[in-house]
Amino acid sequence: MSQSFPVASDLNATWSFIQPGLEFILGAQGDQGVTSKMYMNCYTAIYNYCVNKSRHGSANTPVSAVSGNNSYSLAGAEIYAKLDEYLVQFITSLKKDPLESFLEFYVKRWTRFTIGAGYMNNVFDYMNRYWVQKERSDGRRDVFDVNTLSLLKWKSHLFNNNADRLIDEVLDQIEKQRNNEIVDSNYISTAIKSLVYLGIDIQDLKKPNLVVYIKHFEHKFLQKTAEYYSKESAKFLSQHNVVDYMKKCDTRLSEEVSRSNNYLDNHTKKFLLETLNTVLIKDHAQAMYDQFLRLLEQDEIEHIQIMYKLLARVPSTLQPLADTLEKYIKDEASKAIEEIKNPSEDIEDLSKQSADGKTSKRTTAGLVSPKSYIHTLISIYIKFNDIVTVAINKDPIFIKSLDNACRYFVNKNSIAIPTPKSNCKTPDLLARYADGFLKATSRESDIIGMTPDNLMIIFKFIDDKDAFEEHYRRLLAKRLINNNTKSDELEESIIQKLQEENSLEYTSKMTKMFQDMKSSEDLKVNVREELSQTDNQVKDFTPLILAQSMWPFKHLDDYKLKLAPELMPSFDKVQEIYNKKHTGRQLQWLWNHGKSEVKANLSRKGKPPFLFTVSNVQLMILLAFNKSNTYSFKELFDTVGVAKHTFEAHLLPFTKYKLIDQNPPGAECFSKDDTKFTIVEEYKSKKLRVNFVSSIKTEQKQEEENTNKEIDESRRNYLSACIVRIMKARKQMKHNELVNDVATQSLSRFRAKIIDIKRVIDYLIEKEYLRRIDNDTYEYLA
Amino acid sequence: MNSKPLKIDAKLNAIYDKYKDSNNENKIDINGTIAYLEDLDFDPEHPISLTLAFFLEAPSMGVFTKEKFLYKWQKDRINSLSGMRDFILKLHNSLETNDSLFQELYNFTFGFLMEVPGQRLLNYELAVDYWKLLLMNKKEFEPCYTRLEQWFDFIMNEYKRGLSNDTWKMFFLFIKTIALKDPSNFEDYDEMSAWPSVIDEYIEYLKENKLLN
Repeated sequence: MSQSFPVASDLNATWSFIQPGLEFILGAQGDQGVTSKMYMNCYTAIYNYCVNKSRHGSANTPVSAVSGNNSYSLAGAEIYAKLDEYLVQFITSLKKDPLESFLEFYVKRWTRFTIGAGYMNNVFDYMNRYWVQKERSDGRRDVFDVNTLSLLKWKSHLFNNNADRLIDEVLDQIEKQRNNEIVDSNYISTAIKSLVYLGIDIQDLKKPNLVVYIKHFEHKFLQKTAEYYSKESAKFLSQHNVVDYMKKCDTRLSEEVSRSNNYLDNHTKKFLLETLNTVLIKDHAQAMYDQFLRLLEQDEIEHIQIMYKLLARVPSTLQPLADTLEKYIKDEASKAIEEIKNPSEDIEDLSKQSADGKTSKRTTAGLVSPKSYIHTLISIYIKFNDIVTVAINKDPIFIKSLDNACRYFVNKNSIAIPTPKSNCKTPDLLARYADGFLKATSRESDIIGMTPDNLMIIFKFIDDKDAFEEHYRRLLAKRLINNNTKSDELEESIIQKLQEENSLEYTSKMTKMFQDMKSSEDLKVNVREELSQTDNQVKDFTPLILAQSMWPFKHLDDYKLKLAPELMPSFDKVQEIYNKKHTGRQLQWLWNHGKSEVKANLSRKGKPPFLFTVSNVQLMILLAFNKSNTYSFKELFDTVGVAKHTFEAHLLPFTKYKLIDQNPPGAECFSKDDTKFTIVEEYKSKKLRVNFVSSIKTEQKQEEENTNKEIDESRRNYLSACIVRIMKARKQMKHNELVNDVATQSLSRFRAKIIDIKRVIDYLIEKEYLRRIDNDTYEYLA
Repeated sequence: MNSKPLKIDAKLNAIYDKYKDSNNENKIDINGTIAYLEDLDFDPEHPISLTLAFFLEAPSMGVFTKEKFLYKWQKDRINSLSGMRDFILKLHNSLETNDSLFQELYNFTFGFLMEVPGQRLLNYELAVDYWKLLLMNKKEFEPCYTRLEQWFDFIMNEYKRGLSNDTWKMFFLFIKTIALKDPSNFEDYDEMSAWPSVIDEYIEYLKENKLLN
């Protein structure tokens, strides 16, 4: 290269001067690069040319024609055209070596070319900064800085004609890599990156543009990927089991993610994953659903977890899995229920726990003990709750399925609903379950594993919360008045839990019952204090004042008892003290509840007296014998005063256990008016404590009926209050809307049947609280 | 009262006086009614007697008020027993084709059957008698006769409770819109819609007895 610079105004001279330098820059001379001197010379020559031309202007350039009004115009158009021509000629002269693949050829040349283009851009810096910039800001979109021009020329003269060939080779390499063959990923990566560089928006050069990448590569890549994996997965599944397949998927997915991180544009990642999810997961979801049942049967938590994670990538595939789970839980529960109904040789562990000589809790009549029933329900819940928690990540869809299934089997199983029309027995059984571990008299060994937590789990799933309240309250009442609670704290903590789970209102009656017990305690202290100052015989006396509507007790006409004179002072004292405190309240005595202990001096000489536990009716019978040793049936009956069948039921245990002799004997004479009853002189019993209460025949069935009747009635009241409240606010309402609102509002207490809601609506129409307008709309009548 | 006082024909007045209650001249009581029906040659058990009561807006069974009796007949300028008979026969025949008039008669019947003031429920046996009278004599309901018989059985043997005016009216709607349309399947019946509970129970009863799918 000559030391002296060409005449600045001479284009051809200038070009001849710089061209050899450009050859070096672009790599036409092999690896030999440009020297800094050469580089400086080129830069200077171009600078001189542009500066000189600009100063003098140039009448015959198309540029000045465009910007003709400018007295001062920039030079560059001609040398730019030269460069353009040169680049085309350079690029088209590049030839592939027969030994190299097209990909190798492309990547090698591209790498060298882009370096050169960068240098060249600097060499033409002056032109870039003035002429190019001016042209572009004047609105020309076919003039570019030299780097961009180089890339565009590369694109149009090398890439465009060979795009398919190039991409096919890239995809080939990727497939080889997927087949675990060793490939030089550098080639793949560079070729793909070149596509990003070639995406040039000629309107806005700074805006990244993936047109070339997407059009030439991404579409084909995704298509190939789908083909590859759909073939592979089908083949794999035909030769392997689903679990292996899921593991394979896992591997494949992570491989593809790292591939996409390594050399794909970010844009593709989302689509790649979508494609993979479809081909690997969605298309084979059915196979996984089929396997899911087997995994559940074999309790394969880990594999369930893998399956869930895979399917979770395609959220739409989860619902069928959740449905499968729901159905499976229901089936398992119903099997478990059948098993405890018909205990076979190998009963599952929960019932074995109670097998310590007490298995007969399950009576021969096919009745199931509350414990074994509730624990069966709990075991199902716990098992599947664990699966949902551990393997399924507490996915809300699955939690819902678990809840649905639990609510279903807790309320509808062959023990809960033995006949289609019977009321659900679960609330009753659950209340008795609670009674089991709350009663002071239960044996520790019988109540192993019975906990308030279990109670609360099942409570949550019960539809008929009101029925549970009714049953629970009845048993609570019995525990309280019979002084049979294990711990007040425990009792209160359960009330607290029920309240938190449901409402303050739900537990209000029970809370009041506890209050009654506390204030009765005060009354008792008061009464006893005053009685101790008299010469009354009965001092050890515990009156309970129970609010009528809160306690599940009814005053029964059958129990109109005549109080023995010995008891009158105590009885009067209670009335007196209570009435002093609360004027105007009426006390009714519930003689059918409560027990007494009687010391009976019927022992052999020198032995301690007997201690009899008796009912109030029985107490009056025994006290009568203080006056006389023998009564006729009629005399005794008149003394005691209750209904005849009640009297008989309470008298019977005495003759049965030979405390009282009957003459003439025999069941047929038992209730004849003149049959004589004589108390024995000396009672023969090995035990000093004798309980005559437990053998009184009670009307169990009657009580159950009463409970159900009360539940029905309180439901009707609840529904009608609910309807009136809603209608009062809304004035007019469509039938369906009203029914829905009522059903929703009553959900926390019970699941209202539509027919029950309708009956109450009918009743309210009949009573003219509501009126029907337009056949399906109701109006509130004030 | 929007009715202007009409001048009452003397002959009409005479007819009224013939049947009026001797203790209360403002009404015709049960004895007068029986005599009146006899003179008209109407069988009290026949639906035509109900049509007469409907026309004269009888407040309850066996009673006509003076006001309505004179007003209604005078308005149509009828002042003879034979004229009355012809008129009622014609009216009765028109019920077969005049739907809205029949519906009025049907709705009238519930109040007509109330026996004591403040009564809200119609005795179910009486209800069945009048359903038979009203519906089983009308050609229109012939496709439903079997269903109606089943309804009567259900009311008499299962339901056995009084029926409200709402139920009375809604049952008619049920027959017209559901039962007549598809007597064998009740296809348009929807338990979610606003039918009174007794109709739902009837459907349930039919299903339990395999009379409906």
